[in-house]
Amino acid sequence: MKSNLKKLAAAVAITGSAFTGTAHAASGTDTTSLYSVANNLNLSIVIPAFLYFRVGTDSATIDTITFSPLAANLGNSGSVAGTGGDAGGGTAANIAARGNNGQITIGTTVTGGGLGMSNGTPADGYINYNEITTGTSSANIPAPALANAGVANVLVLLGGGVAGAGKVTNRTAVWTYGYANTTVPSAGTYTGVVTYTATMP
Amino acid sequence: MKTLTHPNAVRAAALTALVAATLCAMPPARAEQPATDTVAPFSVNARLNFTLNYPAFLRFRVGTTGATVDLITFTVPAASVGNSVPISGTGGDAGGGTAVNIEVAGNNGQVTITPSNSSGGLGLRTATLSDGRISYDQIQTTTNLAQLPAPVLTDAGGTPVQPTLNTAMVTQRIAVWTYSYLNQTIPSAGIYGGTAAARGGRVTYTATMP
Amino acid sequence: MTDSRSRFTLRLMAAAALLGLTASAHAVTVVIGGGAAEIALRVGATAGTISTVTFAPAAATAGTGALVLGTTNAAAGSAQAPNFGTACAANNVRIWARARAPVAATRTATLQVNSSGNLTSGGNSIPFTDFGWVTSAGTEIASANFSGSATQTLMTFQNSNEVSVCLRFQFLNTTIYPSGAYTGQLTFNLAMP
Repeated sequence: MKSNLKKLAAAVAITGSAFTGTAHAASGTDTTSLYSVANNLNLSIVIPAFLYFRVGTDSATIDTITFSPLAANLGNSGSVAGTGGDAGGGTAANIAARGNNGQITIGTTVTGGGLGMSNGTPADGYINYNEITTGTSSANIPAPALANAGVANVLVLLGGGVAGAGKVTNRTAVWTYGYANTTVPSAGTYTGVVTYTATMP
Repeated sequence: MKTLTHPNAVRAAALTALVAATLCAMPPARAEQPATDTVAPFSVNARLNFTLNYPAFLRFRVGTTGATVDLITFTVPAASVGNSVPISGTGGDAGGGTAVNIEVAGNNGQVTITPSNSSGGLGLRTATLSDGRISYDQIQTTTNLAQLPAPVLTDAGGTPVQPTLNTAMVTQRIAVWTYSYLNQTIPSAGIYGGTAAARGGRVTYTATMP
Repeated sequence: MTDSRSRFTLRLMAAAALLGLTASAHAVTVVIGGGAAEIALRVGATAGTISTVTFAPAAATAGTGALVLGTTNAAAGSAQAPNFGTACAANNVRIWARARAPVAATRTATLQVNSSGNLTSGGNSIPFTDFGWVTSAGTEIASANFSGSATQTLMTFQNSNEVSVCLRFQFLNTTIYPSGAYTGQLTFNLAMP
């Protein structure tokens, strides 16, 4: 799995606003009772847009989840758990999506040219990506259903931050992977790379 | 040899001494005329009156003096949004821009400084209401002078403070109030507050005195 | 009091400062003829009047150290005939002193002021040490502040001379005081053995 971190560091344009309001200054003197002097100070906080997305180990490392069905079980449709992921005992990946500029969408692409996972020998055939099952621990971040091509986007549920912050997403989940094992492929080690890309306006 | 002194003699002597002393201390005739003395040792006095009308007043300064209203802007780096590392500001007249000069002076009793803001109790916002708010509890203020505390800001306004009097009726204090954005939450992207009061970023400090 | 027998030489001792035309660049001591020993002193107006200098600090600058200049009437700085025929500048107080004795340079006259007191308004007071002066004519009394001493020496000079300077008093304005109308009186003393 490849985690694709996209950080949008767009500078937000500052639009000037005309000064309105009561005529309080920053200093003053009052010489008549009741003595009262009011001074103003304007505060502004500039929050840039950003996007943070994590799939698996939170670093440049690309995790590899390996499924090793036993020979006696090949094709018996018994799900096979994997090893090498950073969660779920190795068969899962930690997922995090944080951003503050609106709806986060996760798109998915896979290698194989639409044919599926290969062992390097085309004559041996391919294992379809739909043999890799995916599930999520939280409906906040659905796990895309893998296929050889045309994997559907999923939407991260907005929210998870301060109440009322309409453009903020702050969600976590665990995606669990399994090998469905419904077919008997040629012997060999089949590999594929799944790329998840998070985007935000 | 024993000396006996009659009480009346004592009184007479005292009276003489008193008269003599009075004559010596008496200023020359026709003072401020010029005054003249022609008898040694020579000594003349001349007097001068001072009158000073001291007004009752309250004077209060937050930042740049005069009509200018300072704008302190906190800009959070994209990689740091919500990581709880405080952010310093720019645009104030002290502390490299993250602070303002404060002066309070008055002479008619205890001064009270009360904060309020233009957010209607809701906190700072952008031009888009659905972006949500940043609460004033994310703005921290500190003072460099214990006798002139910086009010704690809240969405509702904040906590009034009372500068320590210098004498029974007089306050004369100068301090620097420093502001920082605590950056403990992830707000929607945007510019919160600013010079438009409707965005809730205008803080008003009101000093009052009896 | 004038002595018709005295002859005097008018000699203005110009200071070495040939550059400046400021009023205080010149000493103003006039040599007078010797005669029966006497001293005379004038501070402010003549003819039995005690002059008043008024100060009005502004609220906007009270306590900031912005000097507040005193004001007074023309009588306080009027000319002192015959040797000082030009009136002081506006709002200045004339101090004029005279010391005479039969033999020149045998006695020293000392002018002092008692600035140990205060101006008062009810229970509040402003010490005279919050005041000073700028000498606008004459160098014999240097510009200075009141020291708070009961015997602050302003100048000394020998017989037989007349000295006259013009002083503009000022409030130093570094401390804030309760409001009120503060009044006080200074006593100047000229003495000679």
